[in-house]
Amino acid sequence: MEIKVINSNNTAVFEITGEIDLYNSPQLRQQLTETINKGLKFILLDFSTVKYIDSSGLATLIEGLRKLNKVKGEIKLCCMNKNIRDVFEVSRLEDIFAIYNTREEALNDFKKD
Amino acid sequence: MIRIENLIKNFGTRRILDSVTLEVKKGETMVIMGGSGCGKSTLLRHMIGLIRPDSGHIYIKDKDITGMSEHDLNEVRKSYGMLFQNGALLNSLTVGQNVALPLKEHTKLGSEIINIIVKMKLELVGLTGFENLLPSEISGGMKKRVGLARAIAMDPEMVFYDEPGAGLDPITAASIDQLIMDLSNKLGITSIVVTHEMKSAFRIADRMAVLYNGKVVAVGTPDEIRESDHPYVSQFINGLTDGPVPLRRSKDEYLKSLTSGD
Repeated sequence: MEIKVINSNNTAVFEITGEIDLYNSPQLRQQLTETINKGLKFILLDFSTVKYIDSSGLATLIEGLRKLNKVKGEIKLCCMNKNIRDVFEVSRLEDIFAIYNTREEALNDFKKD
Repeated sequence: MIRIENLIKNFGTRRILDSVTLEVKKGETMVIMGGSGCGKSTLLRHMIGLIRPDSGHIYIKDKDITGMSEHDLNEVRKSYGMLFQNGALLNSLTVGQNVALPLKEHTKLGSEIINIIVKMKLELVGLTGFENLLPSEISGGMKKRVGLARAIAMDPEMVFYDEPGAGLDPITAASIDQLIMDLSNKLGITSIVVTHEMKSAFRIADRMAVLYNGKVVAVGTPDEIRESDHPYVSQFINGLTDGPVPLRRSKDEYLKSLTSGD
């Protein structure tokens, strides 16, 4: 898994490539924590090139969501293929994450003051 | 996903598995059926690497596990979960701690992440909010569901089930069957289920294998098994006393066994 973080206009966009699994989800967790600790409150995860996400990946996103909720920030997800979307659906997480089809839609929907 | 080739196992002079050959395809639910002592649990124990065969091979994801070192076998074991007959929970640990156990043992995930995964798995088996109870405080069916949550904690590709409905009332057994089907349909998990319960077997199976005297005597879809003309298969699925399996041994055989000291 590779993560590229692009900061622009007070938003961090995570471009993730590969599989998010038990072995590398701690890396995603660390990147999310560092970003939130820097004071960035708006995070978009682009799933265009994510092939697979397991429960540890989902749990990492939930932890990020909890942290951002505390500081009135937002986490959004976009560009998932059907398999990834199914994982969110089966785990009943579709309603707690804002999921968008395109990066533009997601970026335009952050409720910044 | 799993390929078993000519598996032979003897316990003493008794042949328990006799040239068993069977294939389990990715994503399917394969039910292994047969009467008590037919070798089905022994076959399951071979598949999870608890017993080594006398000869033959078992390939899991194209790797032969029959000659594997314990270290390599432990790596393969991470790709599957196992639901034991009684749930096999540790009584001194809470429900949540039981589900967390494989994640703590085999991963470097932080405790907050593990706690979230535990909640997700308990939700999948319909036990949200039960994480702080002890096994002694929940019913037998709930214990099975906790065992299942633990079996899928690591997101395995395969789950082995040993008599999942044993000791449960029909409604609870049906709910366990539904969970097995949900995991298979929704998560694409390959399921291998050992059972002698007909209703359950026909409800959940994509394909079934019938074992008799250590041999696979029939493999097929539930419809194909129903229509099988093999005398034992017919006797077994219809629960008949008359057939290849005699209710009692013959009088001569009985008297001989008493007098010969065997």
